[in-house]
Amino acid sequence: MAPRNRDDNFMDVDSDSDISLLGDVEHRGKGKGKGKVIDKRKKDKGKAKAKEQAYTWEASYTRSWDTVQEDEAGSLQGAVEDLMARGRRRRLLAPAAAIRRTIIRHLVLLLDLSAAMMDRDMRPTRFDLMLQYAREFVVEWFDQNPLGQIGVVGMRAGIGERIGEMSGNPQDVLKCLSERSRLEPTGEPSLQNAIEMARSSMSHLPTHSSREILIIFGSLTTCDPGNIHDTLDACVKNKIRISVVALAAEMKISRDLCDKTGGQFGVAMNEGHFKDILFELVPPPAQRAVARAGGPGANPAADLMMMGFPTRLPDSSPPSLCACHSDMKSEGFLCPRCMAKVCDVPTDCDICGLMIVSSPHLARSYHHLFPVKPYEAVTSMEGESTPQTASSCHACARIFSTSVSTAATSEGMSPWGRYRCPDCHNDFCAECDVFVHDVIHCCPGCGK
Amino acid sequence: MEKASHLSVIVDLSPTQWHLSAQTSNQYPLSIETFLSQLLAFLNAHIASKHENSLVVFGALPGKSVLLYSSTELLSDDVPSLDANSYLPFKLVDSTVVQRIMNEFDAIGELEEEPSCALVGAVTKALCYINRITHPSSTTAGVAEDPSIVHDPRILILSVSPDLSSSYIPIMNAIFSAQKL
Repeated sequence: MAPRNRDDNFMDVDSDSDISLLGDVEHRGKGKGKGKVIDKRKKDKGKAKAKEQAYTWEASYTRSWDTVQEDEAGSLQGAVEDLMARGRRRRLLAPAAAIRRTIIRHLVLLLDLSAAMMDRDMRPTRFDLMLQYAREFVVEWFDQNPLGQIGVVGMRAGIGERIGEMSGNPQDVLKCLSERSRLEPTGEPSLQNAIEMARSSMSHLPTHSSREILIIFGSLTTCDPGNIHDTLDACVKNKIRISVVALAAEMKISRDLCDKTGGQFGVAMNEGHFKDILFELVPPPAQRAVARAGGPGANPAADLMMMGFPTRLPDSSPPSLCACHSDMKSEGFLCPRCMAKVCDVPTDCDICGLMIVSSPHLARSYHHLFPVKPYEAVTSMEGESTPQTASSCHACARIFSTSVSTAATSEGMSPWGRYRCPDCHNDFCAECDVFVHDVIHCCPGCGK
Repeated sequence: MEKASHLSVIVDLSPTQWHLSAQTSNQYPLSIETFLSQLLAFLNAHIASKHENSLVVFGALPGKSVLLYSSTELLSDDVPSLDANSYLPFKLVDSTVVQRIMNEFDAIGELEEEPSCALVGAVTKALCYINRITHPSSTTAGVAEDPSIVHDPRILILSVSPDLSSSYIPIMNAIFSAQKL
């Protein structure tokens, strides 16, 4: 076989080799200059390469393949533990005391259905990913806030479209999010029209429930008929909290909407981060102390709400019409005040307006109000006051390793893998720590 | 019955309640000795039905909850003596559970006011244990854990004490987390 003609200018490398032929010039093309919210996760590994870079923004740009290190066995165990440590640190910063939160929430989800959402910078498209995460968000939200209601509004072609009515049933909300053909993105988004539509749909709600708007915004423009700052002032007056998750860069108006109303603003850097900041909005928000100017009789601590506990009708009871759909059914719940039959709880009775909840729904919201104290990492074993220190985790009986692990050096992680409860002084392993704080919400040692 | 299953048994060991239950003035008196013999027969049956079945027994005492027996870890060092008429796995379970219960009862001592039964702690510990078994993800050493993933974990609570109002919220939290697991 004749040897191939080798051109002198041709460098024989593989197409996917990472030897850059052009050197540093290649790096300048990367990145879209996204405005980012600097969050705690960034590490300064980029600074070590400063001598090779021409632009200062490259110093703060973390290459995600650098932050993940393999240990000598080739496993990513250390990186996974690092992520868990960051989660613990974030949890430690959250207040451990019980603060007042609104459990009864009304949320309007504002989805951006403009042409900018067909961009493919998030796989498969921003629109598909947003729909998928919105469905997961709705499921998780109703799991954590069973007494809440969600409505969906879309921003498309310069107007706000009502996609779903405010409903407390997760299946209804998921149904209107699943009809993808109805939601095809076109046109330009209009922030003002959509926020006005959301605000007017929440205007009739009682004051003891929280009103929130969550905007998933992927465009960099908005075309509004009037002055959006008037809308913003109206929202502040109506005590509506607006939070924005931006998929493109940060806009000043988005930031202002969130800051003035007390919501949270985030720009998604990648798919995982998008999901994280979306799910940060699932727990109920802390209620801010409202400065009442000259309101002598209004004592915020004395707000009482009327709720009714229904009696359940089993399948064997005689069929009758329900008050909500006029369906002939046997099973249902009886409102305690007016004895009307409703199909599903929690709901507002259609006849007398009483809020009907069952006790597990209330119980599911309690863990927000009584959080478990975060565990402290045990960093030194000298000077132990107790005569015998447990050799195994108090909850799952996993044996603690007696040797110090050298991989865990970041703050918040204990080198012995022990985490101590400040109240009952029992040691727990890292997995139980995560499990207790995220799922069970009850310390096994304290039993509270 | 084809797959391995896990069973966590939580036994309520509050002495006053068992004393009250054993009174002959009750309609069906049940003393702790008869109860324990029935319970041990049940535990043996669970172990015998399949080799891979795993078992954990927790005891809920006034004021604290302890792990009495775990099939995955042998916590006690003394192996019971073998005689010709006993089957070693059964004897191990029986002797460990009974020995531990006796130790705990001896350690209780005389108290003026007995603290309430720590059923909540036992339930949360059982859930943590099941969480650890169903997610054998991280191991600190390089030893590979055996890949027997537990299917169908169950918790059985045997209680003679009346319900405590202060433990409503933690028990509901435990129920919701069991739903999620």
